[in-house]
Amino acid sequence: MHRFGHSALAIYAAAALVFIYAPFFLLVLFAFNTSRFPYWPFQGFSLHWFQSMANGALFSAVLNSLLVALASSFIATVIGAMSAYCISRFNFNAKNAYVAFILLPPCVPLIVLALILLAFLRQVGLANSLGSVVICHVLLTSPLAFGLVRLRLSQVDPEFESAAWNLGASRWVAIRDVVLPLILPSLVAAFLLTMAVSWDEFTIAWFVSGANVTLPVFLWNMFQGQVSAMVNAIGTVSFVGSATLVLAAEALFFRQRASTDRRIDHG
Amino acid sequence: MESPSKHRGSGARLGSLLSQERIAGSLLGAPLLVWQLSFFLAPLVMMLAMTFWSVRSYRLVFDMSLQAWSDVFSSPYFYGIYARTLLLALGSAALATAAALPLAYAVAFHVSGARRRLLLATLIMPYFTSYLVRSYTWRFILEDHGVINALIRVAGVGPVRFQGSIAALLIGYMGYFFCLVAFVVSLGMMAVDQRLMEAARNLGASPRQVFINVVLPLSRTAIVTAFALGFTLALGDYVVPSYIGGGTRPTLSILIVNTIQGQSNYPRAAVLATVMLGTLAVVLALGQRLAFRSRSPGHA
Repeated sequence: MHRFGHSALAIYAAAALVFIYAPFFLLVLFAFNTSRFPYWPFQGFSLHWFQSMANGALFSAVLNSLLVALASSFIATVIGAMSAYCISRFNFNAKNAYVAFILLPPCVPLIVLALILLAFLRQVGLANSLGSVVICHVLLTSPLAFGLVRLRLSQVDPEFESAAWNLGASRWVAIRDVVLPLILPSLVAAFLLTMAVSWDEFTIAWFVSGANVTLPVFLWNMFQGQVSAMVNAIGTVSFVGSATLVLAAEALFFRQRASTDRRIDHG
Repeated sequence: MESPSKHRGSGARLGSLLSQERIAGSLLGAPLLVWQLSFFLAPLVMMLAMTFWSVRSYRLVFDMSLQAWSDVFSSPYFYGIYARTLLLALGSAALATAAALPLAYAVAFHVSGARRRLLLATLIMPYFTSYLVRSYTWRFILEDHGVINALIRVAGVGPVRFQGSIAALLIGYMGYFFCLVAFVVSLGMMAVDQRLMEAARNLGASPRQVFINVVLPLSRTAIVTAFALGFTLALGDYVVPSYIGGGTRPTLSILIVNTIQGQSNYPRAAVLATVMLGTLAVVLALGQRLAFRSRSPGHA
């Protein structure tokens, strides 16, 4: 009975992973299909869809997405990390309310966020530009950066800073010379993960970007037209890009704990 | 709280250093707060105000009118769409959470160390990638000529029409957030103290009893959180109902998009968004009560 339970659970877990990864596998598979329809059976191997990707509209959508992702994740990581440090090392009234409030935006349904941001940015004259997408993506991703850096700061002993202050360092010098090197992996992880989120975000970008389409909006427009395996080819390239970002972030985040443990052992 | 001033300053300098500390804290904490105030709270307040504005010859006019509210609630279509949206979101979140339980159990109690970290990373990675293209692929997997029907045909069963069905929508929502829900439930079960499970087993509890009486109650917060995440994502999603559902079963989010794109009627869209937020608040509050009710039976 016990043995049976184990293997049933293992089969279930495998089936769940197949469900999660099936769309990725089929997406990539059909990008190399000769037919433009992603239907079984596979018609034959072809690089045609990747070759046909070389066009100006796609290129500018990729460029727009890159610019938005870089700018928004840079801002989100910097202000998220500043807030995380503030929360971890200072005491002030209404700290819980502060944390709850800054974490709120990602908890709001995306369609509502998209609507209120479009309405607001239109009213103040900031809509329909890449800048407006950056504003929205910072809103959406800074809580993520805040959370990652805060988690890391909770593992860094405040005594390291106390020691630096005893030796005459100011708050800012201690941050620069003691805290920053210790939390650097989490900063990079936050930057990469927020970049992946921005790179992939569709709903808000669709509402506020106007004529400056980002890559997901470009893909959405392709969905409305004729079926083409070019969607698979673009989707594959986009997937490889964001998967690399997420995996790098995860690797950094899991490795840093081990490295701190070593450092403290030697210290 | 420790601060540099305690380590250096004394006497008269202490006061100025303490205020310097206040300034440092404020400088660090302010930018994100200001960002969320200007680009989240302000738009939210404006949305509430906007529900009372009116539209005259395609222009938004500041007003104190109940027109948009009565437009929405007097529409014969609204109630059906609202009920469908609520049921789909509740159903898909419940399905994802229930399906996540055995997987989370396996992650929490049958693997450990590096293998578990790898499994967790594998679980959460898809959530951050290819949101749009996943729905695209699911739509074609479920079509009459799609992969699932090709597999079924091998078994000798006729094609199943998934297109636009409730089943297709539920699969679409699962494809969207099952990985995230499973990740959150896994983290919750990993935090369960295994000694308590051991104690229950020593007292003669069956694996089933251990799961129902020990594991489930102790990971209740994570389970409710995961459900709430799924519910929120399903409620606010436009791509699954419009692309996988083919728009034949409109939801609130489809209605919001049509109200903006078709009619540019911001007040009416703001009412719909307010209804959505109100619904979310009620469901989350109920979930919160469920998660934290009778935590300590002795005090209940």
